[in-house]
Amino acid sequence: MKGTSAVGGHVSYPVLRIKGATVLRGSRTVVEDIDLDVMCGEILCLTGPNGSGKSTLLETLAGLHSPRSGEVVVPLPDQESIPIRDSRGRRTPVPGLSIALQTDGACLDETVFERLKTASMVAGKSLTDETIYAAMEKWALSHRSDDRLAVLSQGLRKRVSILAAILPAIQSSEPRIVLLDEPSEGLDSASRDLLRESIFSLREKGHSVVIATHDDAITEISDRKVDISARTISISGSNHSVDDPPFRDAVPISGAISALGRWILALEMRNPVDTVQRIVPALLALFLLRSIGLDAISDGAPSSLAFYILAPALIAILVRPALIDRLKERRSGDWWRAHLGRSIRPLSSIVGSPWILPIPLTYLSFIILSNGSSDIDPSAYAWLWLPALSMLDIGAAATAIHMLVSGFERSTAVAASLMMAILIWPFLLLVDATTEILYQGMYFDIGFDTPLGLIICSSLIAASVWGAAVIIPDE
Amino acid sequence: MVRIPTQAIALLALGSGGLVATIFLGITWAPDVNPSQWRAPAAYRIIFLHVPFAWTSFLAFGMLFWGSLRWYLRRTERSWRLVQTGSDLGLLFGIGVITSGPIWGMAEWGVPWDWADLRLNTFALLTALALFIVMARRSQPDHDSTRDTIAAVGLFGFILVPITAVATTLYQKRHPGVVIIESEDSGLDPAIRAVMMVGFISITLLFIGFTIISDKLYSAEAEIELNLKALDEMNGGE
Repeated sequence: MKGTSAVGGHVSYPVLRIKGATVLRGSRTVVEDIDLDVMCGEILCLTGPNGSGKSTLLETLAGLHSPRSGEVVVPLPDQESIPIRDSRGRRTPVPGLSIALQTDGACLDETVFERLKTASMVAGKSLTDETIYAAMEKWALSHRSDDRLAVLSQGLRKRVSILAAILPAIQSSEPRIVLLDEPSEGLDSASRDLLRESIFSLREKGHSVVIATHDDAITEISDRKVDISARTISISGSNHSVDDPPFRDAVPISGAISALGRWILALEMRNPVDTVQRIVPALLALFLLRSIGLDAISDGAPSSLAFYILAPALIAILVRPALIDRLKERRSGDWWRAHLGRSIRPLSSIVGSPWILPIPLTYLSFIILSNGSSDIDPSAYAWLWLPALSMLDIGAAATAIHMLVSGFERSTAVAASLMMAILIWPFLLLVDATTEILYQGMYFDIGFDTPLGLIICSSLIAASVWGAAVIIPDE
Repeated sequence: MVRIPTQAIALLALGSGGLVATIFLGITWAPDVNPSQWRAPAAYRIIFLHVPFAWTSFLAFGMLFWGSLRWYLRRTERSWRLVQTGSDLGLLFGIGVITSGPIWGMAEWGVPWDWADLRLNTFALLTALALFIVMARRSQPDHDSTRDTIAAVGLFGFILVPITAVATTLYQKRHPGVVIIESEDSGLDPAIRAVMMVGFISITLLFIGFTIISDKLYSAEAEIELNLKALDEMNGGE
C-alpha cells in the first residue's frame, strides 16, 4: 500500500504528510524542502532551539501557513490525497484535527466550560455536559467552569487549552490528529504528569500526537523525534505500528460552522462591545441631524430625507466589528482557521455583521426626522424595512473588508476606509430606492429606477464586494 | 548608484515639452465649443489634460491587473514590479483625472461632483484602491503574504474598469460620452483634435518614461534588499 511501512508484522500508516515544503515566516525561510510523515498512532516530537521553527512546522501541519513550495496533504490509501495546504493556494481543514496553540487560541471572554464545549463541537464531537464536567474535574478546572478565561492564571489557561485539544480525541473512537505547541510550558508538576498520562492514553487509542516542545520529559515518551536546525530536519526513532488503517473521510465542518455562530453570539451577549460601538456613533449622528433642524433637512432635494434616514444605519454598519479583535485575541482566530480553513472569513463576515441594528435604526431615524411630512406616502412606513434589510448586505461587505485589512501584519497602518469607499455606491442606490418608497409609495415593478430594481442592484454590488473581499487569501 | 536609462530621460523631456505645448495650444489656439450646447464653453479645455490622464491611468490600472495576475501565477519579482509601478502610476494619473474633472464639473454643472454618476464614482474608487495599495505596500513588511493580499486587491480593483467603461454608455447621467468617438461623428474642430492628439502623445510618452524609471528603481531596490539580507545572515541575524 502506497505510503505505508511495515514494522514487525504491523503496518504504519501516514495520516499527515509534508512533501518538499519550504515555509517562510515573513521573509525568513524557516524550513526548506522538507519531507515528513506523521504516522497513525504515534507520538512525534518537534524539537530544536528557540526560533528554529518548531511552532511554524506544527502550524504548517495544521494548514495555518502556506508553503512557498511543496504541500501538506492527508494521504489516502489508494485514493488521491486531500490537499491541506499548498503553494497554489489550495486549503482544506485537516480531518479529525485538534490543536492547542502556544498562546491559548481563545478569546478571553469565553468561560472554561464554553471553551471545552466549543472545542468539542468544532471537532464534531458534541460531548455531554457530564463528560465535560468529568474532564474538568480530572484537570482540576471544575471550580472554574463558569469563569471567563480572562480571570484565570496563565497556567490554568494552559490547562484549558490542552484539555480543549485532547478532550475530543479522548472521547473519540476514530483516529484523530492532536497538535500541541509547548503543552508543558507554565504547568505545575501535577499537571505535567497528567499531560504525559493523557498523551500516552491518546496513543493507546490510536490517535496521532504531534508536540512542539523543549521539555525532555515529553520528548522521552515520543516514538520519533524531529530535530529542526538550519532550515532542515533530522528524524530519529522508529515508526509506531498499528493494526488497522486510519479512517479518513470528507471533512465535516458543519459542526464547526454552527459552533462559530454560537461562539460569536455568546461573546456578544456577554460583552456587547460590538453593538455598543456601532450604536453610539449612529445615535450621535441621528441626534446631530435632528439638532440641525427638520426644516433644513426637508428643504433639500427629495433624496435628502432618505439619505438622512439611512445615514445612521450606514454609520453603524461601517464600524470596525468587535469580532476582529476577538479573533485576534490570544490567536483565537488562528485556532478557528485551523479548524475551518478558508471558510473562516466568509462565515465570520456574515455572522459577525450587525444583524439587528439597521432596521430599528432606520425606523427610529424616520420617526425622528420625517416630522410627519404630508409629502410622504402613507404606506412608506410599512416598507422602509426593505432598504434597511438590504443594508445588511452592505454590512457584511464592510465586515469582510475590515477582516481583509485586519489580515495585514500591520493592520493599523492600512487605511480600510479607502476600500470601504466603494460601499457608498450601493448605499446611494438604497437612498434612491428609499426616496421612491417615501414619495411614490412601494411598487413592485422591476427596473433601474424602481425601488426593487435599485435594492437588487445595491445588494448585488454589495455581494460582489463581499465576494471579492472574502476570496482574497488570508495568508 | 542607479543609472536611469537615457531613453527614459528623453521620453520624459519630450513628454514634458509636449505637455507644456498642450496647455499653451489648448488655451491660446483651440477655439471655444458651441455655447448653445455647453454652459461653460471655455472650460472644456480641461479635457486636453483630463482625457489623456484618464487614458494613461487605465494603462496603469491595466498594468496593475496584469502584474497582480502574474504574481498569483508565477510569483516572480518582475510581476511584483508591475504591481508596484501600476499602482504608483495609477494613483498619479488617477489623481490627475479626479482633480481636473471637478474643475470642469464646477464650471459646467455648477457642482464639482455628481454622486449619481457611475463612471465618476467608479473611477474615484479605482484611484482610492490605488492609494490603498500604495499605502499598504509602503507600510507593510514585504512578505509573500502581504503581496498576495495586495495583488488580490489589485485584481478586485480591475473589475471596476469594465464597469466604468460600461457606465459610460449604459448608466451615463451627466458625464460626457467618449469624447473622441462622439466628436468624430459630429465633426470635431481640427484644432481641438490636433491639440488633443498632442496631449495624448505627450502624456503617453510621460507614462512610458515613468514606467521605465519606476521599473529600474524598484529593480534596484529589490537588489539592495537582497544584499541587505545577505549581510544580515553574514552578521548572524535572521
